[in-house]
Amino acid sequence: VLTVERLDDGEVSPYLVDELRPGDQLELRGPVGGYFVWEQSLGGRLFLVGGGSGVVPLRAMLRHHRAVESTVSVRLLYSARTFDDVIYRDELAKLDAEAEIHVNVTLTRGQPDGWDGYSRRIDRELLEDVSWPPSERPLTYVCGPTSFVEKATSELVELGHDSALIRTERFGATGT
Amino acid sequence: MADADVTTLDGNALAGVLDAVFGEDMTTAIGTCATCGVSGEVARVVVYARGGRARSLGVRHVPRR
Repeated sequence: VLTVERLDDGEVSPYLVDELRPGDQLELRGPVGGYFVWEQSLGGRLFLVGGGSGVVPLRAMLRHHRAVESTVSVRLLYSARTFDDVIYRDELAKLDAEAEIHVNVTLTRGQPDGWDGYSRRIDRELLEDVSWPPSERPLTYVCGPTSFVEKATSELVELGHDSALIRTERFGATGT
Repeated sequence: MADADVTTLDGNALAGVLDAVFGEDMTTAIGTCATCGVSGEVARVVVYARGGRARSLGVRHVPRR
């Protein structure tokens, strides 16, 4: 499964979103990026932190978690601008209903009426609220724009998390 | 922190290029910095998006190209 976020000034995503038609042929290379994956043998607990489309590889981990019927406890923190920007909304709601998985969403630019999630950019207090205590030594995966990843990882290390247990994937700026 | 005018990424961003050169996923390969001796996965190096350079984690120098 591939997820594409269209960026107005992107080189590839406008083509994939606007031009590509069912039946068109593409040549794919890969898979690559084996560092930023989770598999059952790595264990847990798991703490997944995604900013914007940084949630994409984290959702793949959650799908894998379900596929192998893992009993590892997972907490996901997903930061999006608005409710409409939250991708995989229905799927994340279903995952949140699983006993082993807990999903937290924070909306940074606007919240719908009755929103009961978080309503701000990630900060130390929010991370402390939703992450495992450092003493639990969770495996942590952080993916998002570079500034988001830097913020999350530096605060997690300040909170006492072992940087050796934190894996990151940065995708640069996103025009914010 | 990153310089304000330079976009920094990490070694994950090199996955496609390195796969084209080596024919397999190199992000989990362990590299050792020729200058400071730090070892780690390729995915963990700091990559300057427009500079065409990668440096090892935690130090402020540029490894030999």
